Amino acid sequence: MADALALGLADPGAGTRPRVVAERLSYGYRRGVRVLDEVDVALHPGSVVALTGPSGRGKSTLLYLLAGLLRPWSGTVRIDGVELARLDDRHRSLTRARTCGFVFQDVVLDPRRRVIDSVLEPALYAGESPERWRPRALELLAAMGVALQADSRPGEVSGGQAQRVGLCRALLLGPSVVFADEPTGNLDHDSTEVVLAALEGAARGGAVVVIATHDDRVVERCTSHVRLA
Amino acid sequence: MRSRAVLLEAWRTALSSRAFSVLFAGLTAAVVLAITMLTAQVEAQRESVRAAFEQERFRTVSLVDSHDKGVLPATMHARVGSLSTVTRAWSSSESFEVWNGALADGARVSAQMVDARWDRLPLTLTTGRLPAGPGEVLAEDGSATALGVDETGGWVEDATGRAWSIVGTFRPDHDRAPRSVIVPWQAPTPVRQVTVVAASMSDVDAVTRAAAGLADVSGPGDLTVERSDDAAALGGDVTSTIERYAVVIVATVMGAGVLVLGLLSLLMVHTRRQEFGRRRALGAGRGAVIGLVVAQGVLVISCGAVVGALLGSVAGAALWAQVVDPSLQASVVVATVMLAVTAQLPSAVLAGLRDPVRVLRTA
Repeated sequence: MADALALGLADPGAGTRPRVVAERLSYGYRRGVRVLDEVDVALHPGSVVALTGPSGRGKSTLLYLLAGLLRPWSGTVRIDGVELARLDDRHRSLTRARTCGFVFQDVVLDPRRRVIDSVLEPALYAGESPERWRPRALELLAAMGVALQADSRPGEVSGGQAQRVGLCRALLLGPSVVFADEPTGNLDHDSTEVVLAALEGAARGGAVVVIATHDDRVVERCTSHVRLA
Repeated sequence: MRSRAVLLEAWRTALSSRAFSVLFAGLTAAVVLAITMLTAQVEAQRESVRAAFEQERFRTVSLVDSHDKGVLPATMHARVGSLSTVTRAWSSSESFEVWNGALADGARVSAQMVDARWDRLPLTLTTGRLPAGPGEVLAEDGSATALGVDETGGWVEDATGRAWSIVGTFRPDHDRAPRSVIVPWQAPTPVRQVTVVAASMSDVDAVTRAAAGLADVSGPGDLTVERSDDAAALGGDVTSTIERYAVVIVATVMGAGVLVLGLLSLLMVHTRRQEFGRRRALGAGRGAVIGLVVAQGVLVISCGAVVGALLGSVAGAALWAQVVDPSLQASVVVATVMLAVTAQLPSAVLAGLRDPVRVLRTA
């Protein structure tokens, strides 16, 4: 069972209205066994928040709860003042598509599509024309150093390149919240730098970036730190 | 997701999931092909039965003066024969016996007088010619043999001493045509039977009523109508039996196809669980995921159904020379697509209900 312990790192958004607020959040995967118990989190625009803690203490679970992918047993999650639990599935999904970017621990690209199609995928669910976002997608791929792989299939790119593609997908629509689950877990130093720089860039643009990680290098780069103990 | 985006994405997914698309389309094409070919075959059999029962013998009606009351006027066959719905008509007398006049104790065969245009009678001359006057007769091939008459001719006589030259032999065109020895009409012979051939099966009832209306009938038993009711009914029974079997076969093929499609769809959703989890996590609602699966099914299955219908048409035309009614084919295609998509619904709902977190954590 994990409680949140917010550590006092410099938070550039402190003093502004929090964008993501979780109050008394509890959740478990089995009846009677809580993974998270009464967790409170307030995440401000421009902050890069590290979620740390031993394995099994609910880092990924907290990400999924904050993104509205899981329904909490108790407590509430608000993004920009909207309580996710009060939305039906369609509106909650649409909010996630338009507001959140997700970097998965395993990249999960569509193996049958080209890399550029995977990057454009969130536009579909946000009700946008993917074609309209193609220039932005190519720009992101270029910034991440994987522009040459735009027409490749996921099987033709390395793990590091795939993770950068996943990050491009998460950042495509300029989300106000970016959730990253162990985004540097399988990456070399250079790729880690590229990924972290991109996440920091998103935060500088006003997004909240939440990173679940074990990596001390990542924690050091974050502006605040929530440890699940 | 917008409807257009769902359709476009479903189409792209169908193209990229080639194995399942080929399976779905192929199975649907096979079902529609089988149904279309069966329809063509049934139609061919129905045509064949209809043609068989359109033969002249089934369109022939005989009105018999069964009590010899003279209810059939001498001019009746000419009046009935003038109707546009009648192919031909003739009167005939009661049968009497004739034998070869050149043989003292030869075989006796039946004969009857016939009043008609001889060139319109349903018979085929095998030797000789038609009678040119009252002293000449025709003999059926078998009767001529029984009488001991060959192609060089001969003559027959009856018990009253009347004699006729045999000027030709014939083969009846069907079992209701004049038979044995047929003798030109000599007044005042009473008409025993008037035989009418309707132009088509659908005219038989009207022709029968029209002919019966010309008879001088005074009581219910005066006139007997002989027609091939049983044969026509048998034809109808055969046709409806064929159709019933066809319906059972169509239902079985469709049911089996839909069941297999449903199971394949479940398998597809299971193998694509990571994809559905990813879509949900990236912002696709349950409805959008269900819509994607259903739209993919509709597109692929429709393509398969249309291909099956086209192949079925070609096969039907090649094997049975039948063109299946396009509206019937369209109905088969629509029904198959609707049933197949219905069979896919449970798996589509399952895809929409998949917990994205569970999928992402076990990817």
